Amino acid sequence: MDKETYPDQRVVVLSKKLIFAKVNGKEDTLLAQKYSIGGYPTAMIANADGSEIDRIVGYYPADEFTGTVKDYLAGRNTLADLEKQALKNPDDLLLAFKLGDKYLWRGEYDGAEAAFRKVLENDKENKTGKADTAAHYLALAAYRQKDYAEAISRFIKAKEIFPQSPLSPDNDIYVAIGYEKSGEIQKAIESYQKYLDTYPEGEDRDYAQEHIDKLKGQDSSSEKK
Amino acid sequence: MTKKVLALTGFLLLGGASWGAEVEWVMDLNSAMQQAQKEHKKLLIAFYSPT
Repeated sequence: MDKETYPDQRVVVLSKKLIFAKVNGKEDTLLAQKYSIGGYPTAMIANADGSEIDRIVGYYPADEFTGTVKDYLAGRNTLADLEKQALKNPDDLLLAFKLGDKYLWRGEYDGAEAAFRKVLENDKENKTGKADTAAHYLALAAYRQKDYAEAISRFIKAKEIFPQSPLSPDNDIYVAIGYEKSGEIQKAIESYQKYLDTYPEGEDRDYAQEHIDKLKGQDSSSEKK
Repeated sequence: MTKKVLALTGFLLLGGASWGAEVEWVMDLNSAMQQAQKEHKKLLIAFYSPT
């Protein structure tokens, strides 16, 4: 964002209409916690008193970034706007998915889980093209709440229901990470290895190998003790 | 000729003046909130991780 998006002249022009503030989330952990920041970069549009209007999570190129900020400033596609729309269209599964997505990144997990379950229960054949992501995000909601046992079970289920999803490798790697976070070292090693065997060219292969090496080191040193 | 000179001057004054401009960041959220309240503006808070 600092290299391409923020220096873009369209963003510079936009910055004259707002006050742009920067917060190092790793240093100012209280603020990051207050706003449930779960990933970086996160750009939040807020009222002058700091109350959130909505947020943009992850990297956005300048044109998409300025478009989204302008939408939020006009009250379009914000959480409040989607909640209003959902009241009028309770059967709209794409809308339910969008709402779940908003809740998830805000750390509002009950709302996120309810929305993703609604998508999953009503779109078993993934006609919306979002049911596989809903299954993945449902697992991610448990992971982000540090309920690793539940997260592992949901990631496994997501892979079982939608084996052809592009998110299958992510589901697999999160199973391994979940075991590692739970302290189940042997299962973590096996799951990382399974990831490497299934996706030898997977984008997380270096991460998986590094963690296998690290965990094997830990395992052998604990055996020596 | 005069029109061309005027057009060029206009371009330099308007377009050229903003060329290379950067976002002005406020590095403290409390100060940013005070400024936003004073100027009746909304905030964009960019959370980042240095690593």
